[in-house]
Amino acid sequence: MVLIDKLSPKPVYEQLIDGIEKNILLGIYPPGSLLPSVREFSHILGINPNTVQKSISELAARGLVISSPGNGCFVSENAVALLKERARKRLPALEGTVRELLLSGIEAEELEQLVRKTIKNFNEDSNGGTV
Amino acid sequence: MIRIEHVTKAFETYKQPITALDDVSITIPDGSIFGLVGSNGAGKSTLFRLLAGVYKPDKGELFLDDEKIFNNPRAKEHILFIPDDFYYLSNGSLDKMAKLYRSFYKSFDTDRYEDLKKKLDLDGKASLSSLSKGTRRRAIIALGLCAMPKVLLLDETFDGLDPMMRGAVRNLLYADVLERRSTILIATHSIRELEDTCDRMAMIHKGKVLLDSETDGATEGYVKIQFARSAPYDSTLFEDLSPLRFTQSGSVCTFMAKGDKTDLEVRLSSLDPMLLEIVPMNLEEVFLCKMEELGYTAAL
Repeated sequence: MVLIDKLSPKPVYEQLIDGIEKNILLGIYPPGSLLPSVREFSHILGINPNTVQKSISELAARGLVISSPGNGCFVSENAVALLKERARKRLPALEGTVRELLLSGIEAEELEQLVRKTIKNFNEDSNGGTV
Repeated sequence: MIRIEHVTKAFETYKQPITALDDVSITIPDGSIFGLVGSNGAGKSTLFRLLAGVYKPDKGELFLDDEKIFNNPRAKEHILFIPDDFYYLSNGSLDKMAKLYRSFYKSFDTDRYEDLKKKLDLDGKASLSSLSKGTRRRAIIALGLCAMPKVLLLDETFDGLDPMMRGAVRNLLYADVLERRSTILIATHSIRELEDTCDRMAMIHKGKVLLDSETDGATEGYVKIQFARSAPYDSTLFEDLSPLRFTQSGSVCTFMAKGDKTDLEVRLSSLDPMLLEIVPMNLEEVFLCKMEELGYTAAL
């Protein structure tokens, strides 16, 4: 399932989208698998079914899930590839951050260490961590 | 679908007539959970009584699926209103009330009634007046759901319910919307409650609709700003932004404004700030701002 923080300023439907995307990447909802139904999401998370529907429609618009009337909603076969492609677009932003940090006098070595440590920790618990 | 079209309703008082609703138009699609928030005396309950067909509008008209609501049993049998001060037969039990409801609502589902009594831990034989406020509230909501109305009007629904029952009742409403595409209208003072539960909402104040939108997008375009600079200044510096809720302490001020975040960032950066923070507002803050714009303040 997905965790929803009702006190977060982030809208519930966005939290649900993020949660489902993360679960796709973690292999909890692997490509080709059936997503929990609107009813299940609504009931278990205690959120409005129309909100759930809105999140799933958005995921479908992004090509990550395919809804099959009567059968439910499936994770599309290329969902992981799509998410990877999107993540790659965030690399330039990281470049900007690195430049800012270097400009502020952070040592290159310190930065490299942080990156190496993060990758090491990620590979060890391999659950994708939290963002 | 519910259509409220240019509805005006005024009441005579000993001083002068009060316009409770002034040219209100709202459309509510089937299957939505619609929240209605407003200041005290904004006209929420008046709107509900009009929707329930209790009042006749002075001007304009209200429709359920293209049927006029007032004086029309064909529309009214699909609408159920649970007011804040619910009427129940003196010494009447829940079972007796269910019998009464069954006579009004042809679609009343007896199996569901028996099932909900168990699920919500209700005693059908106990006199309603002997129950606590929260238990009575729970009983009445169960009764409303069993009548299987297309439209359920709930005034201060969750008032008096403990967190556990709040969750249970909310899930019952969600299931009802999902299975039957019923439409639920909730009037409340608790914006938190509304943000959690409703997918669409309207804010009303002094009989007028201030905002009618999806709950998720309602705060778009409203920001809170913190600003500081060494050169002296006062609120007139931001006059072109029409700042609301402006407070200043020394060189630091905070205020709220309408507008796009990046756009405001550019404009305010030109004023030579030492500190500039722009964050989105929550729904409650938007509501307060909207009311202040209209000159409604509680000076404390």
